[in-house]
Amino acid sequence: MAQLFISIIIISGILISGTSRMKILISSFAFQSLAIAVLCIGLGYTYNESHFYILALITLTIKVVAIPHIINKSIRALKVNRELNLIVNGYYSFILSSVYIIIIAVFLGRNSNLYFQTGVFLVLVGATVLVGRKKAITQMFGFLVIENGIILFEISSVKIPLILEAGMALEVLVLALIMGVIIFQINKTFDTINTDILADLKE
Amino acid sequence: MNHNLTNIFQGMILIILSPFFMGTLNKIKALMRGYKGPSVLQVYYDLSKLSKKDTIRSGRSSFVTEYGPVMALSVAVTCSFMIPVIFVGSKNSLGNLILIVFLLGGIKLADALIGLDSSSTFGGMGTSRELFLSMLAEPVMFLIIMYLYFQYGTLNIFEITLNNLHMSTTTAGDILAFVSFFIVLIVENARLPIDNPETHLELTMIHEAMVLDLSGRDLLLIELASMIKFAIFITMIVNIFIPFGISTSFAIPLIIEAAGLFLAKVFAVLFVIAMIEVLIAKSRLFRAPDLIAVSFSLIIAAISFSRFID
Amino acid sequence: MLSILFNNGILFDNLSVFFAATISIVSIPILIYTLGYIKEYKDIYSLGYNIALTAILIVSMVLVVISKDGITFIVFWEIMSVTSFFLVIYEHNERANIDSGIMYLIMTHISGFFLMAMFAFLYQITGSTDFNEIAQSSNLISGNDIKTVFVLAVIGFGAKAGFVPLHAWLPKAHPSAPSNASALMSGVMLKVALYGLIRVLYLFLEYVPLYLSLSLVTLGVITAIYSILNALVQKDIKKLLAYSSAENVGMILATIGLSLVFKHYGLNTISLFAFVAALLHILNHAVFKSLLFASAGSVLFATGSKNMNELGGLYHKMKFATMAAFIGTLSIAAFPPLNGFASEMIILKSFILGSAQVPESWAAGIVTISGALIALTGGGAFYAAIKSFVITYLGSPRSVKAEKIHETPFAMKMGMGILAGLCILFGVFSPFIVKRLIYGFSGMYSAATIDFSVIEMDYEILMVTGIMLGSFIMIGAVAKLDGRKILRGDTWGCGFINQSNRMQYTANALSQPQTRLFSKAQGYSKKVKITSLIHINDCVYDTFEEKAYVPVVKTINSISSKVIRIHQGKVRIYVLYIFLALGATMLGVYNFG
Repeated sequence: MAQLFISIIIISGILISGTSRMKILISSFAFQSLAIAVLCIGLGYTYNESHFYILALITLTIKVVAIPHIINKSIRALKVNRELNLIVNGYYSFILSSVYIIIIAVFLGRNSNLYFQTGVFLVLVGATVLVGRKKAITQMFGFLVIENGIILFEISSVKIPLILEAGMALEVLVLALIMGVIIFQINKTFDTINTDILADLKE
Repeated sequence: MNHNLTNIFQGMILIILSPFFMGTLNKIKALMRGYKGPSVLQVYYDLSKLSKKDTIRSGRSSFVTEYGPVMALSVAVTCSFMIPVIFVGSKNSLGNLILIVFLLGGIKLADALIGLDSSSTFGGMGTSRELFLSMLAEPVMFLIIMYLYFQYGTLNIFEITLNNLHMSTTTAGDILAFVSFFIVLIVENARLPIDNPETHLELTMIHEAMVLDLSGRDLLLIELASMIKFAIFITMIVNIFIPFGISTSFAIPLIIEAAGLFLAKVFAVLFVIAMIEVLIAKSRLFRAPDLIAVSFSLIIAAISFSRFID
Repeated sequence: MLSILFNNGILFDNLSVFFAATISIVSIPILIYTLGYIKEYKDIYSLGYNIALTAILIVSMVLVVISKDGITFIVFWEIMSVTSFFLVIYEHNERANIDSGIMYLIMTHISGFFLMAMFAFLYQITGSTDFNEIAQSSNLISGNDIKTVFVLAVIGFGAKAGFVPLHAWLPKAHPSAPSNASALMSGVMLKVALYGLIRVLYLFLEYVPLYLSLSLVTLGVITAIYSILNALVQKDIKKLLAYSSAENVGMILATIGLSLVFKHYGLNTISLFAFVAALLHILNHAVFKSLLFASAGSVLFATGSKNMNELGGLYHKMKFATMAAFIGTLSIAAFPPLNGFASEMIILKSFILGSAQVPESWAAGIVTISGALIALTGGGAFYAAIKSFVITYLGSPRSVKAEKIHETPFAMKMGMGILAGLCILFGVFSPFIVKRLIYGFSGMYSAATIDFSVIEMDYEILMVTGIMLGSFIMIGAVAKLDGRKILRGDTWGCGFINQSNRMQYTANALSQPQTRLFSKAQGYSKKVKITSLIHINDCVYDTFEEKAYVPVVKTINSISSKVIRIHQGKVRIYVLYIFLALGATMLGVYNFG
């Protein structure tokens, strides 16, 4: 069963890496988080550890419900439904994500487990989204996907203390809120949420 | 014991059923959109109507228009003999996947040639789009075959089905490869969001544009060929990835059960396709490579799972 | 005379015989074709010159592959190069042909230089120029020497076979030559270079290090991809075919590299399989490419144009050439059961088998990706083949040239007919050829390591051909005999009546969609100007030529323009030069002598 959720995580990761539609971005992110939450519950059940249940709960409330809701709202307010002018266009970012997969498979394939590799993949995808997008909203998704990757690190053998994880999750939520406010401000000031505009601020 | 005759027999059944699949797809779509829709047998009526009509050919056309449709249909028929439908024997002399894929390319080839044969402006448009997309889809198809070889140790589709039947677990690789194959199915058969099969609008035309100048018998042959191609792809995806229930012996109850399950699985796939077609609008032509790139990444991930990651 | 050249005898091992056979199989129909084709040049150029050069070219190619000694190899190699150079500049009244001929001459000299260096180097190590002796003392070549020989061979033979980035002469020289010569050059002469490479890599060198074999695979894939993308945007039919030849050479090279990779890992069975795949593709490509060049030649003969945008609708007037070209197109588009498919299938199969069995993951990853790119090349070849056929032969004439057609002579038809027949024959009966080749070349590996059951071809393709033919006849008969009338009308224009032939898709338009993705690699640029009319101006250049060749040529030109100042035109100055030179020489003799 874990295989199904891993494949959902990978499919959504690939979609996030190149899509230009906000709707697909948000729903794949929500699905991805849901899959991670279910994975956590499953692991908690097998290892009989409460730690995993808390992780699942945090992921569910924050990433499956709260953040998509916030972003959906702000998108409706800002009327952004797609991102044009990507720095790396859709086709090549999808190909890029397959390059990541090959690199991970070849270099990490033999001596680490599946969760860890998937986590590395998500971190790389998140980094690509952060670098390759111009709009603030999509850039935020980069952070969120990286955070998802870190959760996968945690449920693999790399143990991160729960308190750190909880802190991180809250931080991401706060980040989302702050981003929301900043995006509104940017939009009000510049009539766009393209962050390249901020370069005009320099003297 | 060789099962070639049986394969030819079940191929015949597939050929006869292929318009039915198309009719069912249309019906499901109609029901989803909230209207009654034509009968599932409507496609048969359309084909028989075409067979009663005279054929009109452009004066500028050549032997391609004359024999191209025949070639397309004969290729489709040959392919349908090479795949398992409801029965899979242990020993088969046909069924090399690479051969099947290249044979199906023959239908594309006939379509593409017909597109420019009558010196119509629309035909060329369809041809160039079709060739563009099929060029990009080629590596994905190759990697899918490669994945199947990694997973099941053979290139013969019958043996793949048999081996998969005996395998109890489903891996993440299987799921990823399934999705990837599904995208290839959509691209190769010119369904939404690549091409809208329901319209004759310049913006959406790929398949329809190429056959715009055919009529009567020629149109019948080429339409039947593309329907069989669609049915072949669905049968392949069903029998490669979810083969449970397929019959391995000639016992009557097993065959009936296999047939029932096969139809159920095909309907499930058709339902998904219908859902996609109802929910998603046709995307721009230059968005289509993105979709193919997604399926490329997926199949790369699948291969990594089965080959490089223990 | 010959006895002096062949004092070491003639080489008759399987490799030589295979290549000699390939050359003969293609050359005979092409020679027949030549007899008809040269009538195009009546009253303009010398006909005897063409036939003589073609014959010398064929003979020298055969002699290259059967020569047993490095010296004779080089001699015949140079004869081959020079003859083909004279064929390239055969139509010397056109300036462009001279230019491409000179470029070709320079590249063959680079090639010849590296080959001579390689044989000299081999002589230094093994003490012999005899091929068998070199092969027997191959254990003397080791370490860095292997790398040196490898690099010299790849550059030397690569410049002749058109590996990227040494390919730029190929799409210029092959279209410039008369079509019979370009059929030979593209079909066979490139294969002679591959023959040399195979001999060096398989027989002279005891082993090839893994990274070198993988770089060979990569080089092959890059050549294939780059060439096919460039082929896609050409509108000159012969240029398209020339690029497509380079693509096939790249594919063969990748397969050879793959075979060496497997050999490194001791996977001898699939190594042999990949090697046979490469050989089979060499044979098949020779057949279908010379057929396509021959039919392009007959188009040139009949219309006087090789620009696809001026052609179209040739089917109605030259049915035989169209059918021949159709078979060639099906073959290059890898439609079963024609021969292009037969070899493409086993090439892809060897990639699949290989990436499943190579033990190290990074090497397997490279093999997997290379396989996928080779498949993309196959898709591109499909595109390019259909483009060249559809635009040239189908539809309606796009210019007056395509309407006024000269009758092609019977000899040309006969040549093309034989080649087309071979395309079908080698495709349908490919399992037998593969089997023969596998047993023939298994001697290159120690016999115990080969598992013949794994690579035994099944005879599926024969059955499929039977079924397909049967259903074609049945469906065709039913469709013919259903008693419905066939009416003739005009092409439907969606309500538009005044359709003209200029409204058809052109060669540029047909390959337009993919330029969106690949225009950088193709050096393709498009300018659209909208006034009351819409003007579209698109141009294609070879990226490598523009970025790498042109700067070098410019530097040399600027240096020589400075050097040229010493030419004063006055006799006494030249006398001074002579004295200076004499003095310098004497000084040199005095100091170093």
